[in-house]
Amino acid sequence: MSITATDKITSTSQKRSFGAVLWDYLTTVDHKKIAHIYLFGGGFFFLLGGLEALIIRIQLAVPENDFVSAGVYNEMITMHGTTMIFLAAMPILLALMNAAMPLQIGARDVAFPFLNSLGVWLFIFGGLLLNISWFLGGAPDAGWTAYAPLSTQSPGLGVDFYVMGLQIAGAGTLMSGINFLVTIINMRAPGMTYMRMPLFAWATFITSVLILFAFPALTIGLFLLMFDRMFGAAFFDVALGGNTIIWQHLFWIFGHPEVYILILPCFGLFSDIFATFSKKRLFGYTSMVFATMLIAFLGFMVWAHHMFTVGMGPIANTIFSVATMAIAIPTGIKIFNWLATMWAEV
Amino acid sequence: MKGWMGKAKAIFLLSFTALLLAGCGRENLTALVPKGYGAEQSMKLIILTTVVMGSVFIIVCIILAFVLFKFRRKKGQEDFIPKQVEGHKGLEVIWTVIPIILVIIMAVPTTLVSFDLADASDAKDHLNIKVTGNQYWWHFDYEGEDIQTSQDLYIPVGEKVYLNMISTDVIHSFWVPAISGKMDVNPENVNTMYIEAYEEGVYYGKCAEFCGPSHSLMDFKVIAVSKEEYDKWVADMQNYDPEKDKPESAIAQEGKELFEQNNCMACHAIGSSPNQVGPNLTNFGNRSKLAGIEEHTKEKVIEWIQDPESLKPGNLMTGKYPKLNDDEAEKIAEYLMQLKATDITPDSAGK
Repeated sequence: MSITATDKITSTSQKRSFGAVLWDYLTTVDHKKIAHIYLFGGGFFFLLGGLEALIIRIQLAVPENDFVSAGVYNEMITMHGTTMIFLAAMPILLALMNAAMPLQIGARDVAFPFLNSLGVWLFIFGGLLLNISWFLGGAPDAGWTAYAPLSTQSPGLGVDFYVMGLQIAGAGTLMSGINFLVTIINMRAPGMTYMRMPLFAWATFITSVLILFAFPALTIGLFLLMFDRMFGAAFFDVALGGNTIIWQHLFWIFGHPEVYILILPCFGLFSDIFATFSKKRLFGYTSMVFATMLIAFLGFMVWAHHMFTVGMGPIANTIFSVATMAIAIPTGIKIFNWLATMWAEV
Repeated sequence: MKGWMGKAKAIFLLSFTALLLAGCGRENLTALVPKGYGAEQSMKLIILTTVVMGSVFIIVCIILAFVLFKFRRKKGQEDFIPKQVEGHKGLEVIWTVIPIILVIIMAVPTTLVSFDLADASDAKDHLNIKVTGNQYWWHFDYEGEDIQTSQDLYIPVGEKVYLNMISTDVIHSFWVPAISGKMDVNPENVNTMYIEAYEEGVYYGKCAEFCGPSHSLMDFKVIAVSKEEYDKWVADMQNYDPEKDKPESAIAQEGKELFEQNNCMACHAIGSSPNQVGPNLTNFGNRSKLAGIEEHTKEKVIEWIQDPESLKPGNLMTGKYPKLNDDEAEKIAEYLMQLKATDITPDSAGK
């Protein structure tokens, strides 16, 4: 009898109306619930980006296909790339960081819970604003890299939605990065020194540093693009003394660290998962931490390897290609340390 | 492999691989069958780095497979706790130093090739061509030769040719994979690259920087002919006088008049001219492709004249001239198709 009674209590206490749950999520500042919003938001945009990829693939299935027009195809590739990078991959990783990092370092929540919720809603609304363009005269069509002057000359409002949507979503990401940094610096539990942190917490820390230094370059680039498109400025207008290559530099100074913003948290995950399921401590913990830092540092030194054909000359091209190859060294350290972690002595 | 079934399987597998590799590109459009200096240098780097990285990849995969198989949790050992190790200095030094050596092995040749391919110190001693990228066509101005062509770039085989490139609108990228690497065509500065074709042939060129709706249709051809044929081509092109070139047939003569009445000349030059608003139409009858992409037939030319938008979306010709009826378009096409300045054609390059 007593068992049924408890059951009743739990079931009544858990049964909340849909509206209540929704209101709870809309107003929450709890890091785990915000993680859920990031996960579902990211998952939604992941599906959307996947549909766009499907359309691209159908168009490319046979030569001379007319499934979509040239203009719509360009909108598809632009929105697919932008959605997958900014609105799917990054939010899903932010979800994981939000959910796990405070627990890993023994904190009750992140340092600025309200900022955290502001960040997630900026991401959601930035993403929605970007996608509303489909219904308001056409999506952006200048590629996810939006190279000037193709992006400044693109007719219609598409690229304007790209500029505003990414500016808003990017501001949210920047807030999250700062929030995680402050949390890890100030809110580690007693005894949780830096060199005792789990590797995923380390990866979150280093990724947040990347966000802090990489996103401002994108912000500036987007502002310049906005001034050019909406207010008649000429930063990228060659005829008026502007320079189009500046956009590529600004974009890739953000864009290459972005690659590591996406991969370093996964590296952190690998480290924690391999160690846990091998029932061993991580092999070479210290070198793993420093390898992660080195990858992040070198990640800022290689942006121009996206620009080898721009005509920067052999000196710049060589420096950037050698720096790019050098990233193989810390990455190799990580891979061999993982293999050694899984290497048990039987 | 057992009996004939095994052999059949092997043959099937082999032919499938061959098919797969054939899909990597048509000849004269693939970087994997280099036919020029730049492509050959790049191919050497591709092979070197593939061997180095492929070996590392295979070794890592083997170790991973071994680890996963050998040290997996076995029945009856669920409580087994492996020995806890913190690290191993010697091992860690080894797998730091070996990658450093491998990176040096790749970095040195990469550096040498980068500097070699960017070296333009002997540009003055060679043929220089000014390349202009436009949405969505290419213009070639042979510097100091009074020759302009569009879409088809004739070069002598076995000689260094310097290309000085600039764009009139957005960023494009000049790429003839079988002969050389890419170079961006920027609106603000002249980028220089040299190409050298080893064999005669018609090489396919592509725009390699996303430039708008017809980016994928912004093709051109590099036609490498023998030195003698090239010299003859130059002489023919220089001696061509559009005033003296009377159309053979009456239809073509009418086409010429229509061409002039409809003000086509405002954008399209015939004969040597600095006018490059639209493609230069000298020697149009010998073009390898129409607009870089379509079969070069009269029917296609008519189609283009009447509705260029359907063949190349976003092109700048659409709407710039009065509407032409079937009859007028056919006459203009007839006129254009007989515009031949020389008998050195893409066929001379011996496909």
